[in-house]
Amino acid sequence: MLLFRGNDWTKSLSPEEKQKVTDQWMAWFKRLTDQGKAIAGNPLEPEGKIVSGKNRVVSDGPFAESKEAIGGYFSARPSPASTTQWPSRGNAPDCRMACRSKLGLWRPNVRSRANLSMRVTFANA
Amino acid sequence: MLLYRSSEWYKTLSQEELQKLINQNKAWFERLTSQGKAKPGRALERTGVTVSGKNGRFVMDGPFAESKEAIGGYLMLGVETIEEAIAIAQGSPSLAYGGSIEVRPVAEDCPLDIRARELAREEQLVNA
Repeated sequence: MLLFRGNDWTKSLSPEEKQKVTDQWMAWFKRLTDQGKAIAGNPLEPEGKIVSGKNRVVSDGPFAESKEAIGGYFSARPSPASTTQWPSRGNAPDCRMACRSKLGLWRPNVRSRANLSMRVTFANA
Repeated sequence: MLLYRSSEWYKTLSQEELQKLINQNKAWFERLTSQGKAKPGRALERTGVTVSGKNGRFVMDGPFAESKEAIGGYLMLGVETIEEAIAIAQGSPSLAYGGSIEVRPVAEDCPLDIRARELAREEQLVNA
């Protein structure tokens, strides 16, 4: 599963850059879907609520500006080989290679200060 | 969508407490599923990497399970309002032991599209 962190990185882009990024993004997602590697994905609304603790307190957040905010997700289907390589921290380089080669990384072609990061983790089988 | 944060709080629980929580969680999830309110949800493995930078050149381990940014799992809900989603999150048995749940509406539109439309409108206003 990919979790897209940070959801206000697009604010520094011009309309042209933004359109370009959107087109690239859609093409990337479509390619992965066609290859059967991406299962489902959705953007999330920028803000939500957090429920925590014994008293079930409801608070605002995370806020869109926060770096750790999750902007969206999609589920990717790794090959069986990369799944077995995944679980321990010790073999992260293998996982990295698996990520790069299995998914193909999104390569935005725009000059920008875009700071998008992706959290890549696999769901428990 | 519910995102489960702080994924390692359960490590302090005893065997009995853990078993009790597992049973409560299972009952909670089954109830939501039978009401048609819970869609697929999964736990996530405790390890992963973060890819960032232009061209995805930085690939780093983390965030680690013990950090507060870590997401331990997710659950997609089939409800219409955030209030209903919050009420469901508040019913989660695991809250009694720590951790927190992020409740986020799934967006109709990609934020990129929305922002592009906003900018186009602003430009129109300036030109008008």
